[in-house]
Amino acid sequence: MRKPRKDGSALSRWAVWAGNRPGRVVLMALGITALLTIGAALLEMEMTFFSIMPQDSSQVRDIERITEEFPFASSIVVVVDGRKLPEKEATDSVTAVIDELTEVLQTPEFESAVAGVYGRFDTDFFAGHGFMLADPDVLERMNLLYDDVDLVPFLSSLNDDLEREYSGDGEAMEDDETQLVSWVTGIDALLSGLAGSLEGGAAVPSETEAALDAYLIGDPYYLSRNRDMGMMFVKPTYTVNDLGPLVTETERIDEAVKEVAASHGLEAGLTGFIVVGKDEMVTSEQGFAVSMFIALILILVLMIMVFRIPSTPLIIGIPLILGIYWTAGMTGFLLQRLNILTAMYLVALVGLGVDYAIHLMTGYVQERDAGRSFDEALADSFARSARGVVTGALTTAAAFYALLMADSQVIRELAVVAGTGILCELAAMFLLVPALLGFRNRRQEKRGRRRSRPERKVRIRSDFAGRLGSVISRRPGTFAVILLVVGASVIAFAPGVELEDNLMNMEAKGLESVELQDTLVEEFGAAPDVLYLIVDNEDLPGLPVKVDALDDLDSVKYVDALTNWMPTAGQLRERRPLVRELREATAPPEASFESRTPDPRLLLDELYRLEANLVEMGDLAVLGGMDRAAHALNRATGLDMDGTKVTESSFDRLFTVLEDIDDPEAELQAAGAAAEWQDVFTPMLRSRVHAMASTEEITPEMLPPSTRDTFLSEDGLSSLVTISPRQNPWEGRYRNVFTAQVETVTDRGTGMILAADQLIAIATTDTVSSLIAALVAVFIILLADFRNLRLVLLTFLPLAMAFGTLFGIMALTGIKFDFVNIIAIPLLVGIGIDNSVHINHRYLAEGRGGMSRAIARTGSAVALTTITTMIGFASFIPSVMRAMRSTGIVLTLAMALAFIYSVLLHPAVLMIVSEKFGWNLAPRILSKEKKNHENQ
Amino acid sequence: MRTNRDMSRGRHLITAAALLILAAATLAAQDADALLSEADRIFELDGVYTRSTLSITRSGREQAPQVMEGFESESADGTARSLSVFREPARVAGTAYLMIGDDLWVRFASTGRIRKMSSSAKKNSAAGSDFSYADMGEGSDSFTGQYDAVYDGRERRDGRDCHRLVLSPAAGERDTYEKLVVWISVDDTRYRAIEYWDKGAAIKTMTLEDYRSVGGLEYPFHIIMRSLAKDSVSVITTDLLEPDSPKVEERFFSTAYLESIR
Repeated sequence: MRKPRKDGSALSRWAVWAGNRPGRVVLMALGITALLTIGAALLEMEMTFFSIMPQDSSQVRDIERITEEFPFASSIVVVVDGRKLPEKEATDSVTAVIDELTEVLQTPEFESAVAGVYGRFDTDFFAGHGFMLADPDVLERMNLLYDDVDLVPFLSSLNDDLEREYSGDGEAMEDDETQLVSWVTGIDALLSGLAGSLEGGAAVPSETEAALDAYLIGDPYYLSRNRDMGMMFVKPTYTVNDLGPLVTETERIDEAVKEVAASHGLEAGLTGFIVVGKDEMVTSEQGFAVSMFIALILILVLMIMVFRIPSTPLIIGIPLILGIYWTAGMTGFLLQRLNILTAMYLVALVGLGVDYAIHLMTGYVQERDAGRSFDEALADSFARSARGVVTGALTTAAAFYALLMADSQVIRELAVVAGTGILCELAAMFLLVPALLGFRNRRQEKRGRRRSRPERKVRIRSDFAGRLGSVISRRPGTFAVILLVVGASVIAFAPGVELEDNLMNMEAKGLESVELQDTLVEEFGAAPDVLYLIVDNEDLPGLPVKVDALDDLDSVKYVDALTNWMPTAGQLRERRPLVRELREATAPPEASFESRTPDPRLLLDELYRLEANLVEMGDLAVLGGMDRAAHALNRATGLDMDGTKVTESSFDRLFTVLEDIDDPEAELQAAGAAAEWQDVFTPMLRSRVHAMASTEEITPEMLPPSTRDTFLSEDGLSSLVTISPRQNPWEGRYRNVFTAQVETVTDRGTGMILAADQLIAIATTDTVSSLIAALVAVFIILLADFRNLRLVLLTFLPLAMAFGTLFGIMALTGIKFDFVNIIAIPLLVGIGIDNSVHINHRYLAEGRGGMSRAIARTGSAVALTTITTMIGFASFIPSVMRAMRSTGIVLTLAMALAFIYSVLLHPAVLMIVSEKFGWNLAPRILSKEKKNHENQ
Repeated sequence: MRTNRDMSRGRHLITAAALLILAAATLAAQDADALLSEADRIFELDGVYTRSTLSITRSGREQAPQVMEGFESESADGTARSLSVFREPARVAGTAYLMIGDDLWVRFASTGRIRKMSSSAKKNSAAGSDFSYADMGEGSDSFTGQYDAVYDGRERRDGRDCHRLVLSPAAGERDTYEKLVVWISVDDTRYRAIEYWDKGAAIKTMTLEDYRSVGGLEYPFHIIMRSLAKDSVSVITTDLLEPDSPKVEERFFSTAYLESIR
């Protein structure tokens, strides 16, 4: 029987002490746990992408400011979907849902969650101030249009206006499609009323009123192009940073929205910055829970299979979980939060921490297998394994802590959690594994099994590693050439690896809030994520010029600003005379005033002109693919999409009456009927235009609440400009165009899309610098360990090949880097180099010609630890969160490649350089000693 | 301590270097002009009759194809003139655009009315496509006169080795883009792609494909205009191209003729 090693270090003495006093050790562990529970209590789970954005960047500061000062900017967008219903029915149902939701969400039940609900435009504001919001060129046209609002003069002016110099701008027409549809619907309704009168009916004031509303103001609801979807805005009482209500209150609103919509046979959902943030939280947390569960179960099952000790889940599982908990506690003290990246790392820690237990347990089991007593086995196994485990852990931790040199906070946080995690796992394993083995030993002793021989059941098979070692030893050249050639041919594709620039592609697939963003672009032509510009009040006078310049950009859909609603002094000066002119022209006539009776022939001429104008607009709408405008124009003119007359239009009804006039009596009758309709129409149009032509200065108090909340800061000292993109701005190529064009007008644009860009840029550059820092740290540690530059450089070869091959495979398979998986890359330096280091140590110990034995003895352990690490990373793959899934794939693949190159290429290269080229790979000091010895 | 002779030698070196740089820059400019001039030969075709199809795909939805007949001819004083007549879809069959220099008219077949378009209209989207009226009608206008070219190196584009030229508006030119980046294939000096820049960014890219020999010149029969500012792509496929065509008559290039189109 072998004696316990007397060179036993403090670590082996500790192991024996702990093994014999497990109760005290457990108490110590509980004490540490209690202490770190305080830290854990300080910990907040910040699982939004926003939380990992560079908090010191101007973009993020601006977003914070917007969130705080302009709460409407981060309002919840409610999308009501009636696409499954026929158009007319859909519009009615959608507006009914919006009206009902407006009421429901303002009840006391939602007081804690909802600060405001905006389901419709405030049409009263337009009815009172509409013309003061128009540009001078529009006002000049309006003055011509409403100079005389009797029927025939009005139609004549309307035709003149439509036939004014024609810009033929299909794009501009497309942008105004919603307004155009409303305008055409209004005109059609007016003509229908006129036709009814000429056909012998009476003018219906309410119908004329509704038609004029559509013609002058438009639809009060935020409806989609096809009018089968609607949008409303809910101002929450909380922000994206209020993590508690973010989840609970948003889900409560979502439930209410879905319930009301379902009661009308419709569907509805929520989107917007705040909702996407909530979904990130929920899906991430669910993903982490699932990943942690999968990783733990798989690893513990693997441990039972390997060690075949039923209590393995407890002996390894308890310190493993405790190590993670301690890491969380330390993180609570150090950072007070876990973000998506650091939380992911905690899951990965399951696969990393277990490695230490594997080494310690393997040593213990082998010693017991050799017939040693409990104390001897513990002492010897710790003497043999502990130093290597500690060195390995410190190397990994040092590589992780090297990331503290990064500029970005997110990487520094990862460095803290990753490095501390390794140390906590190491401490937990060293503290508890011997103690738990001690408990097991006592229990067995009580049962009378004093000489337990678990080793008979637990022998770790190393036959395959042995065979592999002998194959590599026989043909190192073949292995090296094949692996280098195959690797190089895959690496050749590496430059093609792409960076994911669409943040939404990193979210969970099928997430309603993300999918609705695309729906908003497709159906409403509006993306919820816009660029903002914060303008201080003193800069407002110059804002209109900037707004016009922004509006003029190809990539910009529209720009909205306070000055669009509350004209500046300069705008007032330009507009007021023109608005006054309009107001005077439409002032109520004196009592003695009598309208002119419409001349039926002139009326017919103007109707011919108007029909031609609408037909031509229909032609352009068909050419431009504006189906909704084309449909409205076709309905007004009775044409189909091919331009064939298919239904009787209001024009046709009017032509039937007016073209049939062949005697003075009929003419008189028609004129009388037209005059009767005019008596309803003209005063109504006049009074509406007159009311809209108020010259009163608009003050903040007059603004509709939604407008005030959108554009005016809570302190009233600044305002917000929203720059809406023409496409979904998360699409990278388009985003570059959008932001570059906006920058030609202002360099103060801000928003989530720019912050995300900044995050991607920082993540990329910081990853490179972190990677270098990690490489340098590992290089120094390895140099201190091996004291041989050549060997250290060779040790990096498998890692370099693994990185290159990984990038090549990513390029070939279309897996992209994103700011989550790319940040994890530097961690691979600390983890991926371990295998080669173990092989180095063993090969140096075995000496030249001993590679076969080195692989046989290290191969199985290396494979086992690699498998557990891969399980840790692969547990992210089932996650619904695509960023987590891609990180899982990339890191698992990287570990597999690092393993292949470490076990197959690295030994072959070591053999070639050492045994064929005669390189001396021994530590330098040892070499000198050997040299001296030889000299003597 | 530096001597006068040293200083004099230094000055000579600086002068020589400056001359070399100047010479190199001049040569590069000449190369760019020569390349542009050679690629511009596709515009030398005159009296061109075309029959082509314009397909527009927006937000992934393909619209009804627009079939057009085109007539192009330079006037005696060199003014670019073009007449485009829609043949399909049925709704706009007979609708025509007439462009003479900077003037643009449209004649609607549905109403038979002719409308003069504003001077700014040429840069606007034509018929909802990604081509502007100028892009569609100025087929006979070469880039050489309108833009100054600078050689910007070589790069591969769509699998071809290409010269890259950056074009900026020539002095006095109006209604041009802020900048054009053109790729001309090295082996046959043909336009392969043109990037149109406006207000700080590339807003659309034209790709020219399927070059065929017509009238001794190579002409692209497949032109793709892809918007970078919106989710849209327009493709013009030329089904027939006849240079010096008898179908192109002088009388076509007048508003009077527009009224007679059926």
